[in-house]
Amino acid sequence: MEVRKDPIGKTLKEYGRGIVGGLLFSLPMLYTMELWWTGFIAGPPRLMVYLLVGLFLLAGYNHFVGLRRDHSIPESILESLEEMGLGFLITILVLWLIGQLKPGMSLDEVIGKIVVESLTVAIGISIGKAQLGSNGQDEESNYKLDDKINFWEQLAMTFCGAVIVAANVAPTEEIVVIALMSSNIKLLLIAFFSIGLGGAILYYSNFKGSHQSVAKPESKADVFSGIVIMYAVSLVTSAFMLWFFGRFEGLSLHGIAAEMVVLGFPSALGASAGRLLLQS
Amino acid sequence: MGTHYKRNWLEKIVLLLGIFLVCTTLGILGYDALTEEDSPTNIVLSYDIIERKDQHYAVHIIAKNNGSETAQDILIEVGLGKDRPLETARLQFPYLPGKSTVNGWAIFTRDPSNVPLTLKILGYSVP
Repeated sequence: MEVRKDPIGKTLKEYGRGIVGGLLFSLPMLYTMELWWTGFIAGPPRLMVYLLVGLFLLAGYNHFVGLRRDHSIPESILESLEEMGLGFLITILVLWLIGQLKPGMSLDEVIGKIVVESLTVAIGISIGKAQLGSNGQDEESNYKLDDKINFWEQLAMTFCGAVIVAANVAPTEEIVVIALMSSNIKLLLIAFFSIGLGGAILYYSNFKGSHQSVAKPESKADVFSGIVIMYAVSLVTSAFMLWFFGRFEGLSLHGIAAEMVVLGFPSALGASAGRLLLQS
Repeated sequence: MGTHYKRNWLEKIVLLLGIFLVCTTLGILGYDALTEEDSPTNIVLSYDIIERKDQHYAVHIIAKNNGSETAQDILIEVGLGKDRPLETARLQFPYLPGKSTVNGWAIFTRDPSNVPLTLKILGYSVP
């Protein structure tokens, strides 16, 4: 087995790309008040679940797409911890620069803010490291055309894509406002529109990366099941994020479903187009 | 045949830092989750500095939440004088997390240095 150790210069470039990716995906969130507030409203158990789910997603991404994709599962976890460490540092720096970490804040408030924000920064770092490099620099990253399409790999990427897109709007009040103001017909149309758009991106519009990363459907049933899985992942992602941001509290079942459908739209966009961009 | 990566010193430092930060964070959150009792919001008001500006006087107001629950939209009234205040000023803070402090300035046209101040919380909501 060949043993390889990267020179420091290459690592620095890799981290540089990662940090740019992290900021690209998470700066809108770092600049959002609702996210700072979620840090101290969510409470320790919810923050722990969020951090662990985030690490799990990150490890999935690193295992299937990351820069060192032939790494074993423990290596993917270590790489995720490395990116999480960078994510924490970038989050602390940006939150401090924009005046959101200052004296007088309790340790719980500081930790809450950092946990909520650093997850998307870390996912962005991972994507940046793997996707933003030029071909000469990361020849072993990314998908190869002859790669076999694996169901679990697709599922992990679909979740990552949904999270990275939906996370930008999930904490905002607008999701609740749209959900509670929309009629049932409009909600149904939003759901159909999300399904149609996601399906078209995956199977019809010849989107970049769709050939190598979406299993070629052999029948209409394959297309149907692919679209159902995409939308199911979008709804599960939406439900998790809305639960984390405390958007289900005090709502009726109808309100919860309405919020899931409203957030399901950006999630479906992430689960289809976002996922293909992450894999291309 | 696969390639085995060995981390260089920079990657090792970042990895150790990552493990330390994630484990410490999970440790603190876990400890808090197991030991911290939810105590209702308990806001204590105080003031320290009085500054003379060009057209008014500013009093530095500090609000500390001794409880563990967060308060939202906190409205505070500061009166100049005890029973019948000569002047009142109002401050609003969007959030005050548990065990944390926020501060602001109450503005008066009269000099508050020799007058006792009354500090009062008018209300807050629970997020």
